[in-house]
Amino acid sequence: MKGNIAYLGLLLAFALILSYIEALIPFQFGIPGIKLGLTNLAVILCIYLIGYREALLLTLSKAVICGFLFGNLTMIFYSLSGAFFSCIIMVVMAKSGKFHLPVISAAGGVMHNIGQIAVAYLTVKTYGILYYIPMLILSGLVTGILIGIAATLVMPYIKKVIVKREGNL
Amino acid sequence: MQKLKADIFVIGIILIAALLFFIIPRVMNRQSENGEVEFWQDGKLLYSYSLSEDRIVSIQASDGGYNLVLINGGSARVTDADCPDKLCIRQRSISENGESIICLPHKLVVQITSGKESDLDAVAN
Repeated sequence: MKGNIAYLGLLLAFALILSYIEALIPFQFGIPGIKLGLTNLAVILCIYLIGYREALLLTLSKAVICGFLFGNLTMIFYSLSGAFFSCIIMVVMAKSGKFHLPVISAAGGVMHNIGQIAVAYLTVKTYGILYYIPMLILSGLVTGILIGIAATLVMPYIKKVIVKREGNL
Repeated sequence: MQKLKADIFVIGIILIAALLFFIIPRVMNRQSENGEVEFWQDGKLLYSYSLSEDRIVSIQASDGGYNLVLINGGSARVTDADCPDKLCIRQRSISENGESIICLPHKLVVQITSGKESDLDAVAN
């Protein structure tokens, strides 16, 4: 656990940088809620390299800190619920060991959007929001698969570094 | 191979969910058409009728002219009028919240209002 805290901090910083980069990239489709979800990369790495509980911790702290840095209080609630559902489903799927990483990441992306729209629906109580759901599900699927592929490619290198470092400790 | 099957299964579920959420609101919306057709003349509200009940409404203009408005199958349009330009007849039928037909010579506005809010007016990013 002691070593993990350092890695967790590292991954949290990584997630924050990713969300900053994401804020810089103009990736707008005119539909609120659609985004790349780059920070999911950090969560996936955490699930596979450190642990499930730590991943949940990372997700929640990431959502709160990101919200304060780049958003506002309402945004924190949106991303908290989205991130929570997304992380839970990814942990469950990763634990089962029956799925490839891009699919796990895709399910995470979809759940993230669904969690967000659920909170959005509860706050504004507008029926019209439901029309966005299909688009949000599909965008979550596509971006999730892309992030999953990226994670698959990055994983071996990071694994090497982490193992090496632990050898030195 | 086992993994690939599970993958395809999950992606299938996601796609089906997307499809369901695409279809359901559209079907439900058709059943619960609770829009109202409002008739405004000279800035005053004359009548308000439900969109779901078929009827023909005749509106007398202050200059003695008339407009006939047909409400049918969840949409409304002007079928006949004796205004000089007949633009109101040529406008397409209205059914969505906020849509309107305007007959300027008779100072008539036929507008749809809906019980439910139809659009977001602000979005937090």
